[in-house]
Amino acid sequence: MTITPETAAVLADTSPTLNQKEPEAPFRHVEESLRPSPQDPHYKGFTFGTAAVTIMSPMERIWALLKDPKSQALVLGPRVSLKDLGASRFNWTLTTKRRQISVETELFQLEIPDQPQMDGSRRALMLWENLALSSTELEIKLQLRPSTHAGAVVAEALVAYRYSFGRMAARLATLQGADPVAECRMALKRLRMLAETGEIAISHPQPEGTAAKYEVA
Amino acid sequence: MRAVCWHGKHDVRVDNVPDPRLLNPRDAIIQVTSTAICGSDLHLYDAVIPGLQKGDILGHEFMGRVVEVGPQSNLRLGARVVVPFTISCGQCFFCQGLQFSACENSNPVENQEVSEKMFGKPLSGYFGYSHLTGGYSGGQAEYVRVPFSDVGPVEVPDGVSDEEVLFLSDILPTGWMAAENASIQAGDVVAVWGCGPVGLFAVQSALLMGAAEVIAIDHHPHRLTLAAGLGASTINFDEGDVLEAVADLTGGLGADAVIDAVGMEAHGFVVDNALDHAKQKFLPAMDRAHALRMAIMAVRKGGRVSVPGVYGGFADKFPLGAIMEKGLQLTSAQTHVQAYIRPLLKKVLAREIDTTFLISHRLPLDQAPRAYKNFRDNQNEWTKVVLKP
Repeated sequence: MTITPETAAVLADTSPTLNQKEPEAPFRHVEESLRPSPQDPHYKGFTFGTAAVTIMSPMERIWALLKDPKSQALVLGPRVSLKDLGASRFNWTLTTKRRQISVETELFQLEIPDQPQMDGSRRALMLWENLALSSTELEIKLQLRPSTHAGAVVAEALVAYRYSFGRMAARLATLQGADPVAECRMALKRLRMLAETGEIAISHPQPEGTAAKYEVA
Repeated sequence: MRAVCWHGKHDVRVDNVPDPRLLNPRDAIIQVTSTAICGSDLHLYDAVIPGLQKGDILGHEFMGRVVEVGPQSNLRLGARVVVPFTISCGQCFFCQGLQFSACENSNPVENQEVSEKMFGKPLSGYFGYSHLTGGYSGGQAEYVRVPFSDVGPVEVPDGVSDEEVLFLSDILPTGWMAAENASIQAGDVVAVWGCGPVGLFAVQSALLMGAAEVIAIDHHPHRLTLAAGLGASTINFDEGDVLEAVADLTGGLGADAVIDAVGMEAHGFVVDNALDHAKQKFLPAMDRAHALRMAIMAVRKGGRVSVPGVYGGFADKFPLGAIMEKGLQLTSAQTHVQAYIRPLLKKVLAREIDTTFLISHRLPLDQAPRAYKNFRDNQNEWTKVVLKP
């Protein structure tokens, strides 16, 4: 058996850099401020969930969409209606097959001045908190941050909610498809669609065969 | 308008339905001039793909003339266009990486839940291919709504016939991408399972990419004759042991690359396939992966496995050990049509690729139920059906 020069060169190569890659930019985790913890006064009895999407759009555009009531209505989708009560207060109504869940929230915008900047862009947090008399306690924290992928922004949300009838009611609501976390996840996907493409993908109403249940104008 | 609608297993009908209309600013309405039945439409016909609803309009291979455009479409009224089966926004993370069939924004959010549970991530939108992929109406109709019309459709010149360019919508790019995924090098021996339209285009593409020999495997004599006409060696799996035949043709090494152009409804009379038939009949989302198993066994050590065949769920007795122990590379994807359609159009216009040789039947749209039945039951003679609305 003979060894070809190419094979011999590979066998002789003792370079320490073989298969070593350049170190990548550090992965950035969800901010501590978004994480639930036992020290949180609202921890007990709350159901927590997270959702995140990567959006190929400038942070300023996403931020502008989030603050625009018309865009908010598109992002929330057909099952959630949003009524602007003024002074950053909103009434959200989630319509499910069996019932409607209504909650009033107040929107805060929090600057995070001390966080290190990856690309010099402004970092901020949006916070929706329920008003005192709502039947559902709800808090949604939404943060935008630069992605490790060039030109991309990560929108990540932490949803915490507690129904006045306790955890069992929360489980029941989840089974009925009235889960605020799932709705938040869908809303973030619609936000990505709107920011990237300028429209929300829809396939209905459209023509169908004899099973069609609606009229197309 | 008239459209081919799914009403249940082996039950498609030509129904009168309302015309489509523009729903989003980037939409366009196409008057379909030619549409084809794809081998993957037979998975819907056989009801092995979940997520279909009665009345859904089928068809994802189509072309036609632009008759209406939204304010943000860049299509020209009256233009003659071929439309990719994948619906892609052109702006998301995946589209920007030319992975158009992984588009994040084309499947409506309300339709994503099932595929996200099945596959870990939601599927993209495709025309006429169940509600898992968006529930969009398909192109086996007189008119069709085309979302993101500024990204997908490609204008074709009037001097070329529909039949020469229609297959740019799916099967030609699919066959080409299958060969490209097999990383074919000059001198390679490539084995292709399935001599349906995608398999035949994979054979043609592999030869164009420099394969020294292509082995085509099927059991329909006419389809094998078509493959031989392209320059392939052929193996009829009814007439002997395929693994032995591939080993003989490759000097015992095994094929350098294999392409599974069969997918989830493989045929065969080996025990594993009989068990798969039984499971697919009673369990949802079970794939009959007989062809893929054989391909993995037939490829050489360190070889490449390319899978353009459609799989929809889970496969049993999958030889994962062979992939690891033989050091194989496995690649697959729904076709990123938008990445291939323009370069392939150039090859068609330059007569480097012939797409018309596999058309066996040209029928009016009203004959769609007959066409589906024969395309499924008489595969030897019915190699490709083009419908004229």
